[in-house]
Amino acid sequence: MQTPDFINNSLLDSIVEQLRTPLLTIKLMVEAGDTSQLGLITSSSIQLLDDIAYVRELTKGNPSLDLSPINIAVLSDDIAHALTPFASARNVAIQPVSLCNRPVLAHRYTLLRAYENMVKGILSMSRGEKASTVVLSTSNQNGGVRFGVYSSEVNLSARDLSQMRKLFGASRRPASLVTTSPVTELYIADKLLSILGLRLRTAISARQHGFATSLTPSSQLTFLR
Amino acid sequence: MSRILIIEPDVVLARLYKSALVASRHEVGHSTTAQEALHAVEKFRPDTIILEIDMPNHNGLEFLYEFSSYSDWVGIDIIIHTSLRPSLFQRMKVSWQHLGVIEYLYKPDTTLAALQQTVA
Repeated sequence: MQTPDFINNSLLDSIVEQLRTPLLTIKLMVEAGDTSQLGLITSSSIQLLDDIAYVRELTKGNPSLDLSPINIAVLSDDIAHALTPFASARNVAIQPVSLCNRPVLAHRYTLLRAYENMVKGILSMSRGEKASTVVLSTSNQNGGVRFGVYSSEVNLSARDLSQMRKLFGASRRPASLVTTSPVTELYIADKLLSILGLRLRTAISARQHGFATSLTPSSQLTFLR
Repeated sequence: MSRILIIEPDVVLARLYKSALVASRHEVGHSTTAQEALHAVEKFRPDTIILEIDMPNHNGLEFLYEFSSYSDWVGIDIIIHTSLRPSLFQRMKVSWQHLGVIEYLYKPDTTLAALQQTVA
């Protein structure tokens, strides 16, 4: 019997790692008597499980997703607000930059979960040694609306992203690929975007590396405006 | 009191380890990557290094092989403190002693108190 893509070993390895670290952090925080960030860590882990379940739900059948008009700049502000505590714990500031206000038609919750996982992916790569900034950029590109997440601390190439995708195709993660990378978050973002007919790409903006995706603006909504 | 360098990619975990070791009156430095750690060893001159193997880009094993090639650093003790299970290393046939490792700690089973005791 063929193993369904979703439960292949590499993804399970990654999920184990993504959950073991917060659980270990909680255990040590309790031992140290420092409970200030327990709520943040547990909510973030529960959200990760919810997102995995959501991807599974969408990939099981033919999902019917109702489209609605979305302003990506507003969505970006919401994500920045929601993830600020998570970013602060890593000594990172989130800066939304909006250069485009054209509306798009998409399934809001799916897009929100995809974008939030893109941002969390970048934040998880942050080394946190010195204060840094992650930019959430909404801009026009080739007639589309581009949403990008960029960090001065992260150095990514298309090969890195391709390797992350390949990890889920491998039957077992080889020891030579032992690496701490936010594979689960990027996997969730990649899957959700592909369900929406979009593609996650590595990108560079103002010498900062990151990820981006483009949506086609709704001409109907643009006309109405 | 000794000088300890923690090589740990997760900044939140590193903060917890650092606080525990500072409370035990050690002088503690922290690096998040293998590359940074090599510079930190040169500048900070630790007595002991606490090393996570599972790191981005260059992992802890690569750090160990690079580290062990410098004769100046022969006397520095290495404590492996990792989330990777010992069975993985057995399959890879890694010889810790050969690489200067004095102790292996499996992170999920290691309390802060146990870490403090190991470096004491």
